[in-house]
Parts: sequence; structure tokens; C-alpha cells
Amino acid sequence: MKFFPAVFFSLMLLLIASFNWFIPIHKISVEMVARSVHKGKSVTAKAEVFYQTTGGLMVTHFTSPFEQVVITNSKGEYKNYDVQNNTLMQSQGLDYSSKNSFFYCFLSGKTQDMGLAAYGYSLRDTRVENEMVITTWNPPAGSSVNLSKVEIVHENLLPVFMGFYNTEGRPAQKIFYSNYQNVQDIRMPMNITEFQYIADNDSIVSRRSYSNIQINESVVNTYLNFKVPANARLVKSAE
Amino acid sequence: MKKFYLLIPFFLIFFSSYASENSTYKINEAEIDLLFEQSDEIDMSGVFAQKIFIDNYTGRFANGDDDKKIIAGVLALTFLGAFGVHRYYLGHTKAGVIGYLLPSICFGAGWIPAIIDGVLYLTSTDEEFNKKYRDNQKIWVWL
Repeated sequence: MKFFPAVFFSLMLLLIASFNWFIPIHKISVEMVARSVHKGKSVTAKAEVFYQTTGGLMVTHFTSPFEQVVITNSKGEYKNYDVQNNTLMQSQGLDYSSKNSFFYCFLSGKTQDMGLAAYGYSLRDTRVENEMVITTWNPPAGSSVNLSKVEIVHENLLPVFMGFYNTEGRPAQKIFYSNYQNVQDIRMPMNITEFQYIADNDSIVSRRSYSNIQINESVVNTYLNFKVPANARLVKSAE
Repeated sequence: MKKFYLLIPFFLIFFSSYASENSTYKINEAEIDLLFEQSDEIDMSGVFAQKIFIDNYTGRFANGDDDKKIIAGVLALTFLGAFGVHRYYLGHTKAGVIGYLLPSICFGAGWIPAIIDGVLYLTSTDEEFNKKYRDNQKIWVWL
């Protein structure tokens, strides 16, 4: 009986911890470094990305090469604030929606088709090779995108590869998802590497690396609460 | 025992084909690291920044072809590129909307085609830019 308090508190702690394990992600922030290389020359951009599931608010604070704050939401409201010059560009359209983002895709469990179905792509076939599930998708009829097919490869239910093939059947773009890490109960790739084929034996290689992932209460709200200064000068909006 | 040795080549062939098949869909991170390490970083600060971010989108862009190339290239390399702003700037509104917003952002890498454009613009000569890109209404100019 004298151990009862210790046992009781241990069980309570375990119970509280288990609640935390299953709290869904409602906010996430990451640091992103995006690099691209072509013919021996490379460019780098750095940003902090904040995403909030409520309203799909996504704020990207670019710190390099220029400081900018880009705000979008699920309705497609888009603002781009240039910090240095205190200017604002804004627009609205579903194309700007944060539902098109990488975060929405992974946090909402849309990794099975990577959003292709929503854009009218249809499943052509599914096969299994070396314990990987390969699905092939047809582009929507009448699409102006010059693609013959898109392949998505899943390993252990996680997307590891997307390939876009031109009308001649050659790869136009390859995307590799790697270095998966657990974020709460979700697996997310920390590296996304792309090969864009621009000619025979010539490609541009780009990689986005994510780090310092914070979720829920650990997310610093500074940029999620960011308000464009009232005196910001409105410049020509994106059409 | 002899039979066992005879099986070794079979297993080697089997596992090498397995590995090569997997490598089609897997990335070699070390190779990519090396690729970036051996590249020359383009300095995006200074002149380009001054050109782009002074009086944004207020008419100071139309300063001739040289500026067009640099401005479109730098625009493509900023976040604005993901929304096709560099294509709107060159007058390719339809390509900007269809080629960048619709197909690219949804795959979580909306800035990729723009980065490609930016690198192609900035690494091209003025003649190449005028010939290949300036009036090219194709959705993705490299396809």
C-alpha cells in the first residue's frame, strides 16, 4: 500500500504522456535550405516555413538571398511582403492555396497519390517490384502538360520516388523523397531531391533539406501571427 | 559443396540486379552532396538585389534586354518564381499560370521549375536568352 502513490503517479504520467503522443499536429515549423545546381553553378535559398492546419495558413520567411515573408492559406489568399522595401504584393486564387503544399500532402495523409487525383490524373496500373509499390498515372485528357505518364513509388507505404515522363517516354523530372523522420505519428522526408532533364545528358539537380522541425506548442508563433505593416506600399499584384 | 560455389555467381547476379533496380528509385545522397560541394555558388546579393527590390514591379523593369534577362532570372530564383512571376514579367501569362501554379506547386516543389528557369536565364548569353527564352510561350521552356 505504501507504494500506491508512486504507482498511481507513474500511471498518471504514462496516461498524460500517451495523450501527448496522439495529439494531432496542428502547427509545424521547419527550417529549409534549398539548393540547385546546373553546369557547376549553384544557387541557395534559406527559409523558415510555418504551417497551421486551421485555415491552412502557411508562412514562409525567406532569409536568404532576400528577406521576404510569403503568406498563403487554404482559400488561396496570397501575400508577398518585401521586408527591405516595405512593399506588398497580393493576389487570390486556388492555385495559390496551401492545399497544394508539401505540408498539406503529408500532414493530411495524401501521399498515396501525391495530389495527382485532385488534378485529374487517373490511375493506369499498379505493380510491385522489389517490395516497392509502383503506381502509374495518366495525365488528364486534354491537359496541356506534355507528359505521357507519372510514376509514384512507395516503399513501406511511404513515397520514395515520383517520375514524370514526356510524350517520348523519357524522364522529364524525377523527385526522390529520402531521409524520412518521425514527426509525431507521421513520417516526413527531410530531403527532397529533384532532377529536371532539360536535354540529353543535361539536368538541373535541386534539393530541399528540412531540419529543426517543431510542432504544436513548440512552434514560435511570430510569423504565424505576422501582420503586414499597415504602411506597406502595395505594388502590382500577381495575376 | 561444389554446387554451393556454383550458386555464388547466381546470387551475385541476382543481388546486383536487385540493387540496380532499387537504385532507379533511390537517391545516392553522397553523390548529391559531392555535386553541390564541387559547384560554384552564384552570389545573389548586391547588384541583383538592388535591381530587383528597388521600386518593385513599378516599371523600372523595362530597361532593355540585358535587364530583362537578369531581372527575369532573379525573379525566378526568388519565391515569386514559384508563382510564375518571372513568366508574367516576360509576358507569358498563360505559361506562368498553367506551367507553374497548377502542375508544380501541387507536387510540393513549386519553385523547382522557376529555379530551373532562373539558372537557365542567368547562365545564358544575351543572344541565347533572346532566341530561346524571351518570346518562348511554351509552358516549360526546357521541354
